[in-house]
Amino acid sequence: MKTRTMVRRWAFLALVLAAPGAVFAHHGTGASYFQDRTVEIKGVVTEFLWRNPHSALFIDVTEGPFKGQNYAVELNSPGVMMRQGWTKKQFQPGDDVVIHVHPSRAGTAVGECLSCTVVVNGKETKPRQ
Amino acid sequence: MRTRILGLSSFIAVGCASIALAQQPAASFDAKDLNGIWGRGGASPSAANQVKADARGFLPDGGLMTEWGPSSPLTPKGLAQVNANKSGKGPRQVPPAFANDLLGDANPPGLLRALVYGRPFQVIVLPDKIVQLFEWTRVWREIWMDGRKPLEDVGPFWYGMSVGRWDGNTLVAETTGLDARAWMDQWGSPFSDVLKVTERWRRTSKDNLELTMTIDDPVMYAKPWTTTPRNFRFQTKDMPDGEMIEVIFAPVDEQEFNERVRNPAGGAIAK
Repeated sequence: MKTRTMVRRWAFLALVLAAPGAVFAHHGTGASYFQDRTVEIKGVVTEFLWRNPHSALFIDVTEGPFKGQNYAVELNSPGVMMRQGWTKKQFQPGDDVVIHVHPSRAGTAVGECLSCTVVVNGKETKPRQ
Repeated sequence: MRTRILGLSSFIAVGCASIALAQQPAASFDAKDLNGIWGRGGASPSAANQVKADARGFLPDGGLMTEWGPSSPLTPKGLAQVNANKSGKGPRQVPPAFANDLLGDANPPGLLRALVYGRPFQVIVLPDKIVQLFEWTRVWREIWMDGRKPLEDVGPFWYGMSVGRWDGNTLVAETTGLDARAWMDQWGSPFSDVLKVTERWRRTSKDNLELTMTIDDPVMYAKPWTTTPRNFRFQTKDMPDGEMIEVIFAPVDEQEFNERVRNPAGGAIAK
């Protein structure tokens, strides 16, 4: 019991300290996505929304359990992504893309990438920290 | 032998350099010059020692762990409001698709939430007022320094009505009239329309600005309480936050994002 309480306290402390972290999502993402899991999404870009305060990427999935579906990826704000070295031309419709996302807890075709490596047409891009 | 002498020389050199650095005077600064861009510095380390909340953020004395630190005990109305506020962040978080956070529909965050969020702000000190420009949602607030008294029965304003004065080297700003539909932080910590906030801003060094607030809201909290000191760091041009950028929530964009990403991510609607 004491151990569980300690774990809770440390977990809460971690939450407090992590709050002003490097990535920002004004509505919160931890409750929507598994932050401790990563899945690889491969497919073809259909749309890239470069918008505040969230950008989003839409992919027609070509492999894996979501094959045949249009997968949505929640991205960061343009300002944060620019600071990470991304641009509004990061993705074009028709690009082949491989992206590692935190998957939706609801099991839907949605994932989150607030700071992840992507491969676009065979070229890898890592976010600048 | 030669190696030993070289080693000893290096040790002495490093030691002297360390002493010289330690003896350097602190960079001079004007404590009342708050001009510039200030970025995230986080809560002070002492905040970690105060954490005694349970998994839902409640303290043993009936208070609430907020992003501003531990509150005084909640009133019954305060407790009811905490349970009514569904946030996508913090210890009581729910998927944003099921939250009732007004920000999720691109409404203003309001003053307290803008201060705690961690995006940079710029301070401009003018003869009769101090202007604070927030990068987050690209808004500003004014702290009137022309001797006027705090106004009662004003608002509701998302960014309140603020009157300030210097108490030594501390800028003291009293804010009233805040719109209680906003939250105090990202975690859904509440306040009411009778809230009086007393901010104390202190430039503790050339690079650091400290904010401590007194929260006086007898509707939500049993007695006034003081926030954990929060630090902001001076941003120079070469820093990531050295220039503020446009971060505007446009409802038209937010609505599309919610329909196509946020809600299906939470399982709120079939995608």
